[in-house]
Amino acid sequence: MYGIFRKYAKENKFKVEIDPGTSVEGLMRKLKIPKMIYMMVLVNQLKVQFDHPLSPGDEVHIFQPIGGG
Amino acid sequence: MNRILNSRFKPIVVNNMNKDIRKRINELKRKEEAPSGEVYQGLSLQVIETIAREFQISKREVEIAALENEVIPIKYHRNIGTIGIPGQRKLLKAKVAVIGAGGLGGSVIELLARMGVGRMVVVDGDTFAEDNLNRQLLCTEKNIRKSKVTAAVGRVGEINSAVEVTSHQAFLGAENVDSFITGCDVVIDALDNIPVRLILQEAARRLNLPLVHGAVAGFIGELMTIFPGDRGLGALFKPDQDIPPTGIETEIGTPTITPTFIAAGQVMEAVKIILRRGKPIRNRLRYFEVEEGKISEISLSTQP
Repeated sequence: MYGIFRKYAKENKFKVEIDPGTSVEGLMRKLKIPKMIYMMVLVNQLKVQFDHPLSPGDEVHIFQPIGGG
Repeated sequence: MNRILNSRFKPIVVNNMNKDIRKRINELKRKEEAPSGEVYQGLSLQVIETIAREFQISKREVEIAALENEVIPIKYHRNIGTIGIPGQRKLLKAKVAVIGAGGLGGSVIELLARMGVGRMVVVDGDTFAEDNLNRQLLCTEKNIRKSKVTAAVGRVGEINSAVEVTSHQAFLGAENVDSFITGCDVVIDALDNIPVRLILQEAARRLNLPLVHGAVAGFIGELMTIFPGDRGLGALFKPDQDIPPTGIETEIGTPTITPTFIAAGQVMEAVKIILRRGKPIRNRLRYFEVEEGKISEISLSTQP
């Protein structure tokens, strides 16, 4: 977890136990991370939607897309 | 291409002229002492200008000729210990496009000029506004409502007048992008919105050019070098999905620290590409949390 999402965790990299088939949205609920307009989720290096089901060993990155220059 | 043309059509007259230029450089060079005590043959700003005038050639050409004869333009001396005389020569011969002359672009242009990157193409259709003053290096109280690219040309002329700048007062789009970046060695993305970045990436890929992406918001910045075969921003934004025009910066703004930080990283990538040294940051989004001093890497899938 990066940037603004850091406050929802002690570390920016950690392990979470979830029930099989839990979606990205379910994971976010568990971690009390609100859904935001500016939000990007990668699972195993691929961009996914909030309904993407997670599997054991998945690596999830949650961060905000930035576009300023 | 240029190199091929030059070698094929270089007439004997030019060779003689090269000899004369070399002779003149040797006459006017002077011994300089570096802080280390090392003595080197240097060329002053004034001498570079004199030789350029005498031979009706550009200052950049004089500097390249000097370096080819192991004479160092004094202004580059503090680069040489790190990149060497051949490195400085390569930078002077290179051409870099900077797309956007705002927060990132202003700093990128400044650093490229000081590195001695010999040719620059600067593209921006915008004028300065008062709320640019917090972060855009080229913006001053005196040039509000004036053209950003004009300020860029002026600034480069003040720092390093040997750098040849081509400016385009235009916003980049699919219809004009090719004309701006064709013939460049590296393209730097200093844009401020995501859809135009994707247009730039597509064009760079088509024209077989490396692209150095940078973006900023608040105290967060990101950096990635995208080679023509890489997925790059395509791993983050899919054309068939809704692409947000901007990111979180519309809410949290951008204090000057972040663009300065990312711009330095972008110029480092450009220099690495031109000098073929180090390892460009490819297929990884390098994510800078500047406030925490934390740098992370988000690997991106290379599979389409």
